[in-house]
Amino acid sequence: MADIDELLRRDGELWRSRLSDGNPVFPIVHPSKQSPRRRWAVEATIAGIAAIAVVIATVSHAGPGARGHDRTASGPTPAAVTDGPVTNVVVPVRARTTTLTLQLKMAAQVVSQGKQLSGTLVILNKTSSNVYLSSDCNFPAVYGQLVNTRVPARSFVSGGVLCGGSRTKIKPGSNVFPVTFLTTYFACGGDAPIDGERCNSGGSLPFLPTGTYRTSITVNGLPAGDHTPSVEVTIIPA
Amino acid sequence: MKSGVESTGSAMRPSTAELGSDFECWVRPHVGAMRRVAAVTAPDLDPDDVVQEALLRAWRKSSTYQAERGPIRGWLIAITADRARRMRGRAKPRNIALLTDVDLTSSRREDSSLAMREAVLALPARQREAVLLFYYADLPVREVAAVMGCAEGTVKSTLSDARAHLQRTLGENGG
Repeated sequence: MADIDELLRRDGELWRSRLSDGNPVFPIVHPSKQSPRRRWAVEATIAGIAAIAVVIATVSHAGPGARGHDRTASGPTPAAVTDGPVTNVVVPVRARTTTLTLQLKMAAQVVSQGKQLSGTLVILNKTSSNVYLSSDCNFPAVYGQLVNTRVPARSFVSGGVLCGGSRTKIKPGSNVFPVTFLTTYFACGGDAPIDGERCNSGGSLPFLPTGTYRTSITVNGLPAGDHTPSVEVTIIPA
Repeated sequence: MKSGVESTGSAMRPSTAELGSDFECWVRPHVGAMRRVAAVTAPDLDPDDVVQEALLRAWRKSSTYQAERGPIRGWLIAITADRARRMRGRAKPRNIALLTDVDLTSSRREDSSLAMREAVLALPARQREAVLLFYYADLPVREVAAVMGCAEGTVKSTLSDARAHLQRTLGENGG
């Protein structure tokens, strides 16, 4: 009889060809017993993750660096519901570094479920030279999320997969970073729900519960929590 | 509005603006291998479901990936195998792959496959896992070792034992 190794290789090749044709099971399933494939789900997962990353790259969201960054809120009286431009609601600065001062400006402090809340983080470099914030991964440089006791900082990603280390240059003077706070979870679904939340019926991300939250901002390269300002935000029903 | 962001990473360290497309670039070449691993590790589950969970897991746990410990492919495959094992334990059986469901009019080649696969399924668990991952999922020994949590030498000896076992089984059955 033929060499077992060769037989196994040939049969493995046959099996893989069937798998690529949409028959994923081992050993063999009768065609009538096969359920429709759900490759769209994988494609949607990849695309969804990529889309989230794009959103984060341009604005912001959550990160493990923000864990424990859940402190008493400070800030002015809530403004109107909006996801419009920043209106210079300046939050008191809590800067402990000797070279950098951080200031958060929010467009509003009340937002409807499903809406985005815009803000701007200004990092003022008080020196005359560049300051580099080094971290394991710049993913992205600045990002934030809404947290409270019921919805703690959600694990998201710090990007080890995507980068092995990078640094952010903070030029002398003001460095402005747009920050967007989403009012949804950033993942959901499946039998083992990510973040413990199931997707909406249409597959969209579920809303965060209504209530009072605080902004939690992470600046990669800075110790979490010690420097970044926080403000109270209220999420109201859509 | 100016930004002070300047990513100084290499091509393996994309800037934040590139992350969206880069994640896809990182993962997509390995989805096929992930599907194969899912299919052989949890045959009663839809491999696409397993891969979907594995991708989300990888996304969430990406901070634990250490490039110096190996390429991303091995890491993704290990996550996929882990997800498959966990899901296998809690999932309702889907279309259980029954050998008796094989079309009896199958060709000689399929008959041969059937005999081989019956023999493979009858192997002791570790040998079966090694054979499925190496020959069917087409993983190199290094990645099989990572999935099985053992040394490469152990994988090689396990495969050798499995081949000897199969030789005996198929020989006895007139293969």
